Amino acid sequence: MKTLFKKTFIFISIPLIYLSLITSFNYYQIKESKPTIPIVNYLILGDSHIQNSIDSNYFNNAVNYAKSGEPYFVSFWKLKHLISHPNVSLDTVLLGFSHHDISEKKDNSLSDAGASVQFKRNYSIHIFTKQDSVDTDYFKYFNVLLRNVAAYPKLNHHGFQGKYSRLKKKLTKREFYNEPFQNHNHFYDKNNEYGISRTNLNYLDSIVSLCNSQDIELKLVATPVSKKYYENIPNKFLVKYEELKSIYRMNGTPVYDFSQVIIQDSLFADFNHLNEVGSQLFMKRNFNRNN
Amino acid sequence: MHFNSLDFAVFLPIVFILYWFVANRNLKLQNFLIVIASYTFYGWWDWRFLSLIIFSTVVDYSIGVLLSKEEKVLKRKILLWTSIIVNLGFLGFFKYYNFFLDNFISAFSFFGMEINANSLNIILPVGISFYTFQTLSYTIDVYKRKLEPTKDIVAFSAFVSFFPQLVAGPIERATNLLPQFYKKRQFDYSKAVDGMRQILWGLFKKIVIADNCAQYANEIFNNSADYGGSSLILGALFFTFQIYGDFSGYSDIAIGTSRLFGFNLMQNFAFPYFSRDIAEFWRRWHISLSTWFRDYLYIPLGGSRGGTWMKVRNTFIIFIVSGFWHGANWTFIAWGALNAIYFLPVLLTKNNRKNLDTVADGNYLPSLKEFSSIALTFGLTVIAWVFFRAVNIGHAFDILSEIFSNSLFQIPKSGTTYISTLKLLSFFIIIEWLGRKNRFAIEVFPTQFKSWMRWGFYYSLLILIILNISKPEQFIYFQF
Repeated sequence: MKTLFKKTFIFISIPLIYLSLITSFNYYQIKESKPTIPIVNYLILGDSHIQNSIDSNYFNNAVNYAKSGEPYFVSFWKLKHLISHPNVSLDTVLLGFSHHDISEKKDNSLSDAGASVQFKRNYSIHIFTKQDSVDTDYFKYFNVLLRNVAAYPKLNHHGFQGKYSRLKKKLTKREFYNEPFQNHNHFYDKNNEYGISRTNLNYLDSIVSLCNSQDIELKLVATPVSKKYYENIPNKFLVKYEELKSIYRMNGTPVYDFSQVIIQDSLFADFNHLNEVGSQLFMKRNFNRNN
Repeated sequence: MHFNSLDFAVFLPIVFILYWFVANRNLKLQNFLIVIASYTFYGWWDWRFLSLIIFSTVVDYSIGVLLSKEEKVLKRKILLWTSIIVNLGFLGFFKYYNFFLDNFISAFSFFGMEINANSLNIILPVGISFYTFQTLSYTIDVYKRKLEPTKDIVAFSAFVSFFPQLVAGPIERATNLLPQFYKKRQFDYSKAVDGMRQILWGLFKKIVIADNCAQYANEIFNNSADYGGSSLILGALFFTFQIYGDFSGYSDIAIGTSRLFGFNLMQNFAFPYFSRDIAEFWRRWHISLSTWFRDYLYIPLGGSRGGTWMKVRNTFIIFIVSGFWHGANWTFIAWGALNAIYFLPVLLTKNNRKNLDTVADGNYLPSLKEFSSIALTFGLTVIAWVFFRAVNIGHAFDILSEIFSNSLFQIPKSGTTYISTLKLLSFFIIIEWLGRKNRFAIEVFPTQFKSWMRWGFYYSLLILIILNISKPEQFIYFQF
């Protein structure tokens, strides 16, 4: 029995010691190293809608840190993290606010199939705990931590934070009529309509409060979507969106709704993302004129 | 409590320490500890259903005692049938009530008669099919005077509820397991190490192989209409390895855990996917259930004796009952019937006991003939699993008709996402092939390595297990 205990202890201790050393090294790296950020005072945040539509070159000292699939809770943690950075002295935050952002689907970002991507991008800026009140797949989180923090020494832990991306693709006529309709993913779980988000919208309120407390001007923006996409948004989301728009405007947060700006379908990469030509046209023709 | 849960990782060392350090001087105390540990293990899932196990234990223990005193044939038969009715009654109610009710309603409505009957919202108690068959084996063996009835209720309770194999087998025979509760267990270092090695391999099969295959198998089977033949065949392959990794992984953990406590359980899987014919497959797949049906159903029905008609009838009965044992759905019955159809030609041409040895024994690789036989048997098995996994018979036929269409030759949808799982499967098949002569794949060959290499191998398995940990997937056989 003694031999069994002794050998089991040694067998378990070796990896434990290794994991502890590597984890300590990596956490030191995370704490000490800061991400490289240009000097900015205008920050663009949101998901792929903003990422593909808003070109930061149209503003002074601006950076587009929007990323595909980013929910408001991630934007909130990212904003909190960036505020503490020496290069960042924000006066304006432009945040995506479209109909799909109020869908319950976004509440599942840390528990659905894409959760690992969110953890991988953000483990260095936030420790995910139950206090976040977000439905979280902790097994996936643990797995990402194990691979990125405990497995081997790593010098750079700052994952992709976001970037204006230029989509070259054009929505073709064939796709327009034949492809499965994309907004299905935003508003339907298989054939059941999603509810209105609770968690994600709570975090939008937290972003508003954070900006107010830091004296940062927050602008909410809905970027253009194709006519077909807009017409297929379930009514529940249209109604709620209008209600929220009024509430935010009433409380002093400007909301710019460009979702119905008619832009021809060839300027979209798919039903709800502008391609590069569409984005540039939108920036020149619509966005700048209003802002 | 799941074997692949944190709860079990805490529970097992506690019971192990109590068993060998606190209760080691007294056999009765050790058995009592097993009973308490087993009830805790089971009650962790739903304590209410413990009453079923306790009731079954008391009934079969009492019937055993009464059988030992009773000499009259008629009274002995009554006692035996009481046990059978009580045990199968529970099983029938919890597992099959709604199935029979729904089918009766459908049958009557087919003839234009409407019956008003409501299905009940019945929860299937985990492991009921396993412990029911285990206790039945006791009563039948006592009735047949193959086994002395026990007078030790604690030992008998431990036999019925022994936690490593309580919820998903192996379905132990009373003749093998019960006497082990009468003997004082001595701690055996090599047995314990062997057990731990088997637990490691079982966890690898479950977490790395089965759970990885499950995500693709589930996606493809649940959305089968969106996939072409090449993807569907991949889905069927993933399910083939999912069910093997899941169930044989559970058995390995159960057997390994039992060895830590000084018990020897029967081997439940013997590398079935390397079988050269379907009869060999059934000697190697879920051995404890196959032999149970052979001994308590097939042989009493006349077995392979008698004419061709008898053989055909008995083969169909045993395979259909075996299919039905898995669940109250026509898909399981179709799966059983299909296996009977596979099995009959081998039986009727008297080739059913042709391949009793290990395939390619003494060689690294199989001969071309052996390889083709393995591939053919494996292919037939994969087709049968489609029925097992499908939602209903129509669904199974839809999948098979798509598989046997031109779309079989298209590039599978999202083919690249499967690559890492296919790599893991290749590694798994190689290890299984290397260890095919033993009770489990890594029983012997790692012990031939130098210690640093052996530990390196175990660490590699451990790393793969840890990296693949996800939300614990329930073991498939829990639902049976």
